[in-house]
Amino acid sequence: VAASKNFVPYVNITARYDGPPDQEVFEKYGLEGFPTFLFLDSEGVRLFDFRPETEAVTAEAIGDAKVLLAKAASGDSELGKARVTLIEGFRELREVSEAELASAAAVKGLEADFVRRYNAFVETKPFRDAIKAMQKGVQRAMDVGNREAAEAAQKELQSKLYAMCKEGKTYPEDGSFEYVMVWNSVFEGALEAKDKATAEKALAALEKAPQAAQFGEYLERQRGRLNEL
Amino acid sequence: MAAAASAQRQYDPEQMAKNYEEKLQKEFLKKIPWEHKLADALAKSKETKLPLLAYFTRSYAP
Repeated sequence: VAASKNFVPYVNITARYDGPPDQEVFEKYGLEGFPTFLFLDSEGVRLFDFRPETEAVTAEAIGDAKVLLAKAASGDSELGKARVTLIEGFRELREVSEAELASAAAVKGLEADFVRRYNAFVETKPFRDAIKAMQKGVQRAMDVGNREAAEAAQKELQSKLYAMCKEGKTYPEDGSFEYVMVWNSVFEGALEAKDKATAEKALAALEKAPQAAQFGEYLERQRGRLNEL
Repeated sequence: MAAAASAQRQYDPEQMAKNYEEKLQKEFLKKIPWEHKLADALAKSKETKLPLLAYFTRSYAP
């Protein structure tokens, strides 16, 4: 409601029948999954999209959009540029090198929240890289109809993330899709390795996720599998 | 077999229309003045010089 004062709010309802307006828009912007928010400029050019997993995620996205939209107005100040660079890197709006991000995060006067997000971004990068590699592997396999290879790519991710967890790496609770994916993969990897303690840790992390309420039955089934171990 | 599978993917237009009408009655749609057509929203965006925040949802499934 508050955001509607700073933006023109537009709702698009995919309805699966002829009649409602703009049924082609969701696909036109290459969006995936519901619900999704998308920021556009007055020409209809996309800024970025996000899934409103939690209120904090939504508030952060609205803040980022304001910074990006104010880019021209904020001039060439070092601080303004640093904020924009960090957001472009966090949201993968362009290729931003690690050195560029580190340099932006070190700019004097940068808000503590940006520094916190930068640290979390660096900490979670190995997990995101592993997920991206799996997604590419699955896509390649599915393109040629090789279901076994797709499953193997998923198993590889589970094994990799389980190993990372055993090395002491952890994915912080941030309300993201990646958080759920990481801990679910660690859980599966731990079950495969018959490692009850790590499976318990992963399941506890999943139960703490903001999305947990939506996956109650699934989590119960996972709890059952753990108890059988 | 393929025809049966294809038929299963069909959506009943009457049910879809009913779902859509129900969706339009949701509380969140009444709280703020949503635009329902992208062309109208873009025109308003140009007029007010405000960017556009698009919310994509669905009515064919929960």
